[in-house]
Amino acid sequence: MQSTLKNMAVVLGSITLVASAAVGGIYLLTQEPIEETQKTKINDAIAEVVGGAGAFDNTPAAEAVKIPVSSQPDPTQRSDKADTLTIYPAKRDGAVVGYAVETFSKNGFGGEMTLMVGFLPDGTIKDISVISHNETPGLGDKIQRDKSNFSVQFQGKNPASFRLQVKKDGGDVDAITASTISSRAFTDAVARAYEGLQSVLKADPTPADAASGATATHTHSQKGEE
Amino acid sequence: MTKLQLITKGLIKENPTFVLLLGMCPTLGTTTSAMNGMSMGIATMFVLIMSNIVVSLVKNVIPAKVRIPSFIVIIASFVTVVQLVMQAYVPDLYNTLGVFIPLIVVNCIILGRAEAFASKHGPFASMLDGLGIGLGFTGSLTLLGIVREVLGAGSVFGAKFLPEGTDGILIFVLAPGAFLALGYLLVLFNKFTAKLR
Repeated sequence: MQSTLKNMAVVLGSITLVASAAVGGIYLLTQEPIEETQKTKINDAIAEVVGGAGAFDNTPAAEAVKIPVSSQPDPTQRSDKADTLTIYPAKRDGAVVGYAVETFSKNGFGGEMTLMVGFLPDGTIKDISVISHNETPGLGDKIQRDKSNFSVQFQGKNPASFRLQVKKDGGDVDAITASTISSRAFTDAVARAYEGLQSVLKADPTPADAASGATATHTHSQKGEE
Repeated sequence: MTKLQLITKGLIKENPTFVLLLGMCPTLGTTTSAMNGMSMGIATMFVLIMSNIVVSLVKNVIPAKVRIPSFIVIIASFVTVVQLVMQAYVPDLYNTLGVFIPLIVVNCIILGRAEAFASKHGPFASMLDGLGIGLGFTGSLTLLGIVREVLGAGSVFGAKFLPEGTDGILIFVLAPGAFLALGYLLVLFNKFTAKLR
């Protein structure tokens, strides 16, 4: 077909219009399931690290507390922006039985990793679950429990006495062979979760009331602003 | 060319991976396991069939000079649809394939078929062409994924056949292994299909 300015503009314009309408339609259709799967994933991870779905009777996701942290504690690394940790309190009959902390590290071999770390109310690590990571298959992905026992060594340890650094850096964590960077990032994320939890516990000694705490930004109140 | 030939030519004679050597980026990047390779192949096949059909339907109203941008818009829309649907219903797979899903847009096979075939043929033939090339691509990626998974992890489609605690030859799961495995498969494929072609 002969190209003139008019028919080029009309055709390209209508194609992009139809295409964006179609993509928009699919977006609306899939929006809900996408949110649903993400929520399920977080809730499953919470249940996993605080001792199973029967261990608590509240909805931790509804009482979540977000606290801002610096993403790069290492001053040699460039810090672009501050990120947030999300702390999910798990309660049974109104008493806190544990905290699930959604934490991250940007120093993984493949970039960012997200973990869910479960703590007992005294700060002892209960269990850790990997939410997402980009580590090398066969090497760094051993941070996942179904791939190796690396994360099991954290269970029952209290970071107050258990130094959260790999042994090479003078800590107590056994790194995965040939995956020191991934192990370091994992440990870094756990340490960040512990620090975040400490700041919440200190700021608010009765964490059961964290929902009304003035020090923490509540997810509910934030929602309207987003 | 008969209808059947349109489908079968993509498997061997014009196999996109082993003969045309197109779309190497997703081929090397996603075939860490048989499952990943196959999923990538299927996602690409869907986009290929749909874009081929649409391109062949609108080919007569598109001015020659804006042909390529129009094709890209059509392809990109289908890729976004695939991405959203995968994110909603198979989130684990979506996480594994990650950045390679949006990169289907720039896969040369898809634009290549739109330009070389769909813009000159009717919708039905274009659909068969997309199906054939898509099957060839899926087959090649699955094959490469199987080889890399067997050698690298000692399993096939996630079913481990090596005893617990033993690992495969790790390099085959890593990036260099992708090149090695693809190279050897290319040699073997061309040796055994030379007569067929």
